[in-house]
Amino acid sequence: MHLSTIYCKFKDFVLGNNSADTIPSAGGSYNGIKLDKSLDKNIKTLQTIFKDCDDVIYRPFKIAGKVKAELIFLDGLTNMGFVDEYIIKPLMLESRMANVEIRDEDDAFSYAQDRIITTGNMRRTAQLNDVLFAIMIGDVVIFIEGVANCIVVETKGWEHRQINEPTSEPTMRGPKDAFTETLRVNTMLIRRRIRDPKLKIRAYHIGRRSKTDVAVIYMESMVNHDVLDELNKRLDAIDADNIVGSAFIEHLIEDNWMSPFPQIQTTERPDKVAAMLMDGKICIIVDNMPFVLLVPTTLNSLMQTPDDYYQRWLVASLIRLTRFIGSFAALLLPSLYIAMLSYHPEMIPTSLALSMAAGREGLPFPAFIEAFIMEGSLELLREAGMRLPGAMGQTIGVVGAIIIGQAAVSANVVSPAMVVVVAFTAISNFAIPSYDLAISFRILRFILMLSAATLGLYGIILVVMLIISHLSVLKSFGIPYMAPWIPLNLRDLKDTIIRAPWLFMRTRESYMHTQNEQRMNTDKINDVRRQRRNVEH
Amino acid sequence: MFENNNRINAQETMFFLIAAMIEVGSLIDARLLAQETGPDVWLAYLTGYVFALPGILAMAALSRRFYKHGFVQYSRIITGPAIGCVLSLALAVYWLSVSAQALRGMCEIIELTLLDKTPMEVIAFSFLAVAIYIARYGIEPLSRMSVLLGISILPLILLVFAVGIPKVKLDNMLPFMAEGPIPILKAGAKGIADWEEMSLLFIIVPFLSKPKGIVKEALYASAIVAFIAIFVLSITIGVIGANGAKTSIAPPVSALSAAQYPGMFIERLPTIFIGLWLMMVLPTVAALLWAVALVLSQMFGLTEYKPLIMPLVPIIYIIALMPQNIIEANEFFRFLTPYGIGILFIMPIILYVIAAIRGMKD
Amino acid sequence: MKKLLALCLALMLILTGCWDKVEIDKRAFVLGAAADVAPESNGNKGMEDIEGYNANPFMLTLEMPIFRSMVSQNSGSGGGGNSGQVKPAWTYSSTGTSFFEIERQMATRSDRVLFFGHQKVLLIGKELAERHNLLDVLDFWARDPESTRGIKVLIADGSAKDILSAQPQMAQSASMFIADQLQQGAKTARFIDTDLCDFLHKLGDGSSMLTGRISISEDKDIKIAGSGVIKDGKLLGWLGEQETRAAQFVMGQIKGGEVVVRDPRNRAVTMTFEMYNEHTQLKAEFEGKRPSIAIEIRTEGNIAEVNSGSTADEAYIAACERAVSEELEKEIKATIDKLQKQYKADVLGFGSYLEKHHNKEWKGIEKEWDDIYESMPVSVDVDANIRRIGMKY
Repeated sequence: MHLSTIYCKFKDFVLGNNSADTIPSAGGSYNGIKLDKSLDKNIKTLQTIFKDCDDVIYRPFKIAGKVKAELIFLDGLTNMGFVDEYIIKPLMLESRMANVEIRDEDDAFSYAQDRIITTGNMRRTAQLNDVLFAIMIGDVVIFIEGVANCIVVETKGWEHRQINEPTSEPTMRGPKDAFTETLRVNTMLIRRRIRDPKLKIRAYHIGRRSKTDVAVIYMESMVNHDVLDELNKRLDAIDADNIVGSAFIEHLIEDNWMSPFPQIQTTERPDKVAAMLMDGKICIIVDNMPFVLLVPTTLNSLMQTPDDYYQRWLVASLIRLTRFIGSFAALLLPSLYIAMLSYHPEMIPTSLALSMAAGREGLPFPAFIEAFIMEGSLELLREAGMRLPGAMGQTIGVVGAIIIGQAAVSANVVSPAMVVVVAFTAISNFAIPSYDLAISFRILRFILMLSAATLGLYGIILVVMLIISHLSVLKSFGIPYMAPWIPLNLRDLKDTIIRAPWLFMRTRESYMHTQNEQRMNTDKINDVRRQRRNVEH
Repeated sequence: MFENNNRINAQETMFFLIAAMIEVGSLIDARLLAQETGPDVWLAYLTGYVFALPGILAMAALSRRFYKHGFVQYSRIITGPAIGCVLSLALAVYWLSVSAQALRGMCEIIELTLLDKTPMEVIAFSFLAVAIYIARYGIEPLSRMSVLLGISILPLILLVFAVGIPKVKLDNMLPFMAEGPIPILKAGAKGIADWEEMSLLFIIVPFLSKPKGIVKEALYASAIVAFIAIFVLSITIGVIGANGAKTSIAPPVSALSAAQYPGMFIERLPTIFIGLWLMMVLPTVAALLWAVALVLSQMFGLTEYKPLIMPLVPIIYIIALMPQNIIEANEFFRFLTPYGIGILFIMPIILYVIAAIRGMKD
Repeated sequence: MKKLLALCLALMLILTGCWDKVEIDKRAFVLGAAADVAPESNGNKGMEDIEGYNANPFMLTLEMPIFRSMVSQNSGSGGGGNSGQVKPAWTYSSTGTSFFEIERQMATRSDRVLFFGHQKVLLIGKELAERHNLLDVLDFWARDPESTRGIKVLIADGSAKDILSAQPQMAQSASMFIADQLQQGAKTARFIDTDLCDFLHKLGDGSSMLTGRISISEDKDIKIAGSGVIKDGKLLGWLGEQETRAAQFVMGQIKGGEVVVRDPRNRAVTMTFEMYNEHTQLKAEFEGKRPSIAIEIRTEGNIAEVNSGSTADEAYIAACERAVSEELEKEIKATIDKLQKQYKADVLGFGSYLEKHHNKEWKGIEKEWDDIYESMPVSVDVDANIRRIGMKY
């Protein structure tokens, strides 16, 4: 199906342009059905639709003791105290005390809307569709006898998680707030960091049934509009009953779903999102998920952590360097071990080779089976550690690794050198900041091990070349995945293996093709520094 | 920007040419050069570069003249359809043979150093499989890969080779031109054929975002390649001497094996060196594969080159594995020297002269 | 479909692969090899009619570590126990027509695959070196992709096998001991350190060379001292320790060492000079077709030991410098004389110096170089400088 037709259908579905005149059944579409003047008829329609939905609350009452009205909302999603205090009470009691003359139903309606209900967000609608959606998201709908409109008052208020510390991306010196499951809270967290009207938050409702809120956030003055258009196109093309989470959207909009590499970054840190937005990236928040998506993504940005920017540049650069070396080790170490032990023992220094050979003597398995056993049990431990509750999981992880390693060595199943290699690889893998990237490295590591077991060093080279080829082909929303390495721009390399001092990072990355490349103006600060230096001399 | 738009910038062009140029040929050529010129290998190579320059420049200038067209179209414009077709076919066959030679050379080196008993078929086949993957995506990813390799692997290769510097004995470079300039000039003339992959200049210009700069980029790329080759050759001769180079299958490997120190973290430098060098062979074979497919598709008026890549692979494979052993392979691929001089030197200059005289350009 | 095909091919590769895979513990690391002439001809199989054919001319001895005992001794109680008495290496020796054949014979006696990638040393017996062209002997190692060109090659004074079978006190295997001992070159100039690359280079040129000499002393110690003179690929004879030092001076290879001379103030006792730096320059002059070579040597060093109790004043140091220079000049002249007259071997590289630096003249004399060399006048000028005198004034 073509994108635009899907989009039209979706829009029709949400906004209702069709003029089908039939009384809807509980399972069908309610497009274009208008409300009736009769309150009873409206309520009956709703009751048919909400059959067996026992959390829908109907509250009949009379405005100013005269006009029949009914209030409908979902229990649990609305702020009950608010409804009682600011809607029902004014409508029932204060209207009576004010002694306003209400001649007919229209009067009652405008009176209620204009003078009684004192909430900020309120609107009127005549579409059944709209009404249903309003109820489902936790707003209160007020029907009044004899009016073919109804009032929708925003009263959303439900129990939600407080803003907690980020669990998957902790920092030493950064802020300690993380996104929550509520979209509004999340947008608030970003707005608090960028107080600029150019920060645009575009809302989507995706999912035929789930009608999940999805917000696309970007800086209008920075973003590359080609990327934005492409993203909108891809989001509009999504036509599914249910949005399973941000991973679902990630999968549907990424460039190459066969690739082991994550082409969309996820984070739970609002500070990271704010910084990325300022670099021209686009953020996608999906309701009910504390992890937001960032596009376009490069391999380099997956290797960065917020702490790199909260520390002094020398420290940050050293940490970055360690991280890069660690990621190479995580990728290559076990396969190199296999290749060296099984194919090229001449590469190991003689005395080490002798002791490794001694350590392996009497072992039943070849090096690569040995490596698979150890790597496999490590993966198993990791998985088991996730399942086990809280602190116990970590304990089991550490203790399990030590005990299994030790036991395997003394049982003559693996050699001591293998345990060292596996442990070092595991540690290196944890040094990769992005969880998604770390997992893709784990997959590639196994492929590399297999190829090393088959063709030795040549096998490793082949697979490495395949990975390099793949990385060269891969793009994320039109931006080469390996940017800024390729296309190479020396200016952009300031934020890669090292993190240059802020003073040198005056411009945004050129490969993003942002509208505004200047990040900071250092003229003044340089002037000040010059003056200070002159004074010192 | 959301598809591969097949546009490459100046820097990508340069790295593309460099990565295509560097292949195992340079490892094996050291022996041939040493046999012909003794210790003056570096000078012979330099002479070869100087001799090849007019051809390279002619290729670049010619392609710049016809910056909207590939070789197939402009050879037809210059020489008429019949000869143009023959020339294009000659070019395609040349590239096929060169990639087969590169593949064969790589297989030999691997058999010698890394995998002794593994059948060569397996090595060639698995390598071609990776080359197909990248060649199918065309010049843009290819050149991006070249940049990546150029900035990561090339410096590493030079670094590994620099370990040999302390073991260089300058005496090994003497006597200088003992036999007079004739052998060097001869070797230099043959050396033109070493610049095989520079012939890619014939077809890459239409893919350039700024076709005007192609001459400069071709010059830079060839100068960098010449520098790397002379660096490697000089250290090789400096460490094992002309005599060592003459008697070694792959002199730079032998030089590294003689130059290593005990007690280094990785004991065998040659193995690392070969591993890194092998990585530079992939862009060569993939680029040639892509080039042949492109030229053939243009000749037959196809819109897509991708379907042609698969049928070409068995041809390369068969040519590469036809000779029985390394000596036979050397003999077999000897025809590439005159062929190369024709393609790299005579053809571009003649075509350029004709085009210039008749004032033909885009 | 295509992907399935690719997957199938990849699987085929993986399942049928591993042609070269030999686990590290299934290999026998050859640390050192000793090549000798076979003790006696033991049966020749149908090739007697070929002239000059000698059945089973070669004997190859290989030293391979026994991993377990080697490592456990390393981490054990310092070799003081009973296990310290057993050499943690296995020496295997066999005869054959070619070294490769001998190597493969090994398969009949061992469960391991021989692996030459970690070979450190190659010892060549005196008899073999005298009888066979070393270039042919070394061909196996030059051709084998596993072995490196950094293998140390030494000539054994006597049987090479005996040396490899010796048990050095401080090391676990004779080969490792020899390889490490050769690193001592910076301390003494009494031996010469040559590797496979040097052999291929020099012998391939057709020139003569000096190589390290290894022997077993009376106390069953392995001793590397002196050097062997090799001409036309065969061993001619030996140079002593001092002669080796003199030769290395001429070749400019001295990295360290000591010179003991009579003390200038008290001729009865000695003064010891420790060199740490040396620079040699050759100069050639031609009178028609007769070349003459002048050797200029500059060396720097310390006073290491003075037995006369003299204080080091300026005059004393100058006298010492003079004494050292004279002593060295005398030694070097004698050595060159011996090489020219007795061995007639141009091991010091005069020929290749002329070829490289005086190529035009060299071409004229290349043919009769052997004759010219014998009678070529060589002058030596040594300039020793004392830079430090140690802690004692």
